[in-house]
Amino acid sequence: MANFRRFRPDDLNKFSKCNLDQYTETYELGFYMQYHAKWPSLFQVAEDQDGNIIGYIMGKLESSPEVYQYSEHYLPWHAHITAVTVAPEARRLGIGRLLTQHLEVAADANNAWFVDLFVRVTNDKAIAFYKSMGYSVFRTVKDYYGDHSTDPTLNSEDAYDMRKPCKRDVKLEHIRENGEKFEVNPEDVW
Amino acid sequence: MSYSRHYRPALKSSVDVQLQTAFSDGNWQTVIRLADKRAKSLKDPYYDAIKLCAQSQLDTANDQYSVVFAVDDLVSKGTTVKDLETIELYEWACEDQIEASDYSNTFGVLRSRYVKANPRAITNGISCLQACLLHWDLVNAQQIAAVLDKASSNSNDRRPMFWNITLTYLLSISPQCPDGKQKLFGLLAFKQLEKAAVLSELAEKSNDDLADRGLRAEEELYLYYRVLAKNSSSDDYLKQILHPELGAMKQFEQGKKQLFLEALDVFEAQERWDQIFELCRQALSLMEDEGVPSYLAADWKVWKRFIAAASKKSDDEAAFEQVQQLLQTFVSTKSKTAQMYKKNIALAVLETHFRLPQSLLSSKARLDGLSPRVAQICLYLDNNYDRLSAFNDLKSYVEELDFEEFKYLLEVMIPKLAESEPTPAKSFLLKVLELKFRYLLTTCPQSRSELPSVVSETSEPSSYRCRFCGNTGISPCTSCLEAIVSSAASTRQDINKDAEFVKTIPGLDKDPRAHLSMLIGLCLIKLAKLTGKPPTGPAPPPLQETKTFRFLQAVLVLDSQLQETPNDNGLRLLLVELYLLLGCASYAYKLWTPLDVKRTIQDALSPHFFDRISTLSPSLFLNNRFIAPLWSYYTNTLRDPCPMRIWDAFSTGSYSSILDMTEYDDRLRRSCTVVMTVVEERQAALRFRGRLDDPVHESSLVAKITDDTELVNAVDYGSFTNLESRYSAAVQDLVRLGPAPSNERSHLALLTAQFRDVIDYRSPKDYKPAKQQDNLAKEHIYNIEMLSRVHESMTSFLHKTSTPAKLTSAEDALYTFTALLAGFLATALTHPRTPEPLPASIIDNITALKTVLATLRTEFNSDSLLDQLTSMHTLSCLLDIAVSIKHSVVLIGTWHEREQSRDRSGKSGCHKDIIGALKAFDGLAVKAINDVKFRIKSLKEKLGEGGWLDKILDWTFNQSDGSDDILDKAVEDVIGGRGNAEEWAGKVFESWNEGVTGWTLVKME
Repeated sequence: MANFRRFRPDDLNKFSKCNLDQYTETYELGFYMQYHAKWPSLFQVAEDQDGNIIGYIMGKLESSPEVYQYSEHYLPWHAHITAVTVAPEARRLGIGRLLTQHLEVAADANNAWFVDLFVRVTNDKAIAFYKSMGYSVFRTVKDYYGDHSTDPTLNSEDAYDMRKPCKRDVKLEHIRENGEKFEVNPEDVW
Repeated sequence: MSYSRHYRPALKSSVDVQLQTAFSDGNWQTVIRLADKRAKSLKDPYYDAIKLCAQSQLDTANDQYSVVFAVDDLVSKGTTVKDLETIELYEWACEDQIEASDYSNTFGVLRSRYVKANPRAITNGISCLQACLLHWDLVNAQQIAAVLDKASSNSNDRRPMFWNITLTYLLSISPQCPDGKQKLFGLLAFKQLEKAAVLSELAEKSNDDLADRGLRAEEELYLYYRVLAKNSSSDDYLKQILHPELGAMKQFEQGKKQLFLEALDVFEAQERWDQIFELCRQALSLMEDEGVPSYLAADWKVWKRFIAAASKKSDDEAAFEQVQQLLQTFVSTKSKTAQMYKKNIALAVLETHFRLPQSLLSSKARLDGLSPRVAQICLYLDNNYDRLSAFNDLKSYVEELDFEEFKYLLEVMIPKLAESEPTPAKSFLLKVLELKFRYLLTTCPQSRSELPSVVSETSEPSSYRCRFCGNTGISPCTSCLEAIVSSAASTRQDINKDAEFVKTIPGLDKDPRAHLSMLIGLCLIKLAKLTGKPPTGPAPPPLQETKTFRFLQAVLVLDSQLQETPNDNGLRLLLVELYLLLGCASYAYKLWTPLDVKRTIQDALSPHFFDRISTLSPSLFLNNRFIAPLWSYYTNTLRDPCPMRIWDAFSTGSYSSILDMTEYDDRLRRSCTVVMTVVEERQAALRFRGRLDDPVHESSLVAKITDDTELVNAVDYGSFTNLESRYSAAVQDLVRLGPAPSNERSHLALLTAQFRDVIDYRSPKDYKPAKQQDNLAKEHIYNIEMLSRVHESMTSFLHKTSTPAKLTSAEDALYTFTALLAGFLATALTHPRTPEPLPASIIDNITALKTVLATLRTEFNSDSLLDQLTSMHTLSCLLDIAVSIKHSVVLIGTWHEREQSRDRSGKSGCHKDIIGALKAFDGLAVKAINDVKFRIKSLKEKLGEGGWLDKILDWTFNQSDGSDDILDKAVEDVIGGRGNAEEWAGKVFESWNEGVTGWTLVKME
């Protein structure tokens, strides 16, 4: 059983079900507070009947700095998914999908053009999950990650920049087909 | 912008290059000379400021403080500094000289004056507001915000208006608020918001979009309702929250449910069930465009409140009909929705069956013992038995069943479910659930009937007859627990034998064998008779008077399971606590490390391992990185006086976030974990260094904590398995080394550290003050004041009726002794040296001290080797008392000798009976220290002897009276044979050895 609502700072005292999981990163307090301070509607949690946090999503709204507005890599006003996690015991219930949908609603409410996120190219499960939600690969960011998730001999891994258009993008101008083949460097990504 | 020492401010561009260069190069003598010249020739006070700032960078105190005097002068004379650059220069120069807490009386005032004098300089005004907020000077920030609000009333920027309101409200609930003004500021914020609400309403009615001073944005509305909830009557809140244009439902219809959830919280606190019912009904009735119900409100909490509200309606039958109709709408469309919502709906159906009024229940009478409630539970089980959460989802309902229903569920229905469409997975998973529910029953009152006691008012636990198995004994039922262990062990064996099923386990939510091991472990913990803390008095050593072999078996089973499922964090956390209880601190640390508890989650999770750790194994602190992450987290997080990232919330207009962040920051600064960090590290450092140079009250983390500060425990137990009913203590309360962190214990620990600072203090050898006698006299007065204060504060905490239950018995002895000793020392330093005998009050004090020490010694004295290895906490507290006595004797003795040589009349110094008592205490302390030394030496020798693996295995098995052999066998089966226990015994031995070796390094004086 779960409730979905905005994050509150005291939720940090109930993060253990999510954050003790080896695949969930724990950040400094300032990082969580920055998201809660700037984009409170894009920081959503799922809690269980005892108030334990069993999933959360952190997102932000931004555009590329003005100075890049004539660059081909310029990103207009959009929402970005920074982190999404679901506690092991609460998986297979669609909580990740529901949290993402909540963030998409908030992105629409904030007049964003699209929602984007980065995912390792080898993370087939996550890629399939996002594709099932309407996301598509917009571009491949070469050597975006400083390590490789499956091959310890490699010291980098590419990322897919995946996008889903928001309601504002009626003409679907901010997505493209075959984005996998559109390669950019990490410095082209802000 | 506020500048730190790392960011030297740039001088105004109008300043000449020569001075600019000298300033940026830090060529301070040149800056002073040039700035002086310019000040004289240009008559611009900015150059005086530059000069003072340059002086502040010189080495002498006179130079350094000249800028402070200049700032004080500006403040006290009511001067308004005419440019912001001057204030910023001063602020930069004073950063090390003026305490952040003085900001509101210094730079806050100067900035506020500047903004009032320059209301149109909006950018500078915002910069001043930010500076005040970063120093958490709410008084001046509010005044600046008020000026900015007024000055920006015609601009498009709505933030100054809401900054003003937010800060007025924050001030009203802050200790910074001037006395007697809290209500006024609260009302002021409320009235401004009320006016904004009226303007919005009028704008709405006249279709006017330009309600510039109305409520427009989502965050503005949240602020309004938060302030409303705090400052208006409940009727007013109700009226406004139901407002057709601004209210919760209007927001909800726009897809924003935050306000709706907040309204439900407020109504629940006010017990306005009719309103809860109506709000929930409306929200759950909302339909999507496609004609399907909206799931925006379909949270579990909403359903639960809706159903609870229905049960409280005067016409509950009609209310429940509405509930069921609505539920039906969701049930009919649930196939298209997320699994999570399906689960919420299924549980709402279940909840309804448990809350239905009696009149509606009558038509659904029991059929062959199967009540509608049990039938609903079975329906849920049938659909969700493979979910990891199935037990937790149903626990609260199952424990509500009466005994017959419970028994029917366990004995008839669950086996029947397993037989319908049987698969190995279904039968094994349902068996696991059946055993868990059977365990749950042992913790429920309906499982037992009390037997009349033959002795009236006995303190012995009451005797019960278990209604499930018919055996008598104390609760929980031993026979049932043993039966569960046997059954769980054999189920585990059956799973291992089913190779096909074992292959499918990785696809399940969790390995059912891990569930079974946990269940066995919990049963063994209960069979070991670990009872947790008593409800009133201090907690005795947890393994005292327990069946230790059952406890060791529990640890063995759980440890063995962890080897198989190392990512089971709940299991790992439980084992950390169990090993601490067993005295295996170094092994507990090995288990703790992979959890990677770091950064933000340390506040809630680190007490699981670090609380009381210095009393168990101080040598762990010899690793420099041991507690450093905690220190680093708090030092960075609490460095600034303001809530972290608060300006981000102000600048983006996230007003509800501002309130939340402020509340969280306040709590974090009062966290028991902060105190634990400081106290544990100091305690360990004392063990190896004897005394510390920096007094505890100078530690930045606890410097602002006073006796009145309510310290807060926020330990997160969410990952612990909880199979207990609400009538039984949670497992973490049984296996913790002592009571959880608390306000009382944290204060007592801090005060004890302060006491040690006083009695441990020795002037540095090379310190030769000019007026030594004056200095000694001041030190004497300081000691008396500090000891009296520590005595009074500790006594007042110890006298609270709730305190003993928040301490271990050893802590109770240590803190009681420290409080008494502090009082005794203060008396020793002040009582006149007369021939008259000591008054009775002092004699009583001496007697009380001896009694406390004797009690702790009794707890310490044990012939059992296992008891000795698991009672380092008691040893540590005894050693603390002994060392405190030794240092106290030196303190008083030194003073007494000094007084005697100063005044040869024989009238100064300590009373002879007090000297006599101190000598006696010294003897007791020496004896206690020798006992501790002997204990460590003897343990070390014994651990150096061979045969430990056999000894530990002997302690673990073969201890029962014969009838328990079945359990020994069950444990062996689970761990894969006794041979596998040897490796575990080796780890336990190794950890004991490491701990005792560490204690040999401890300074005992």
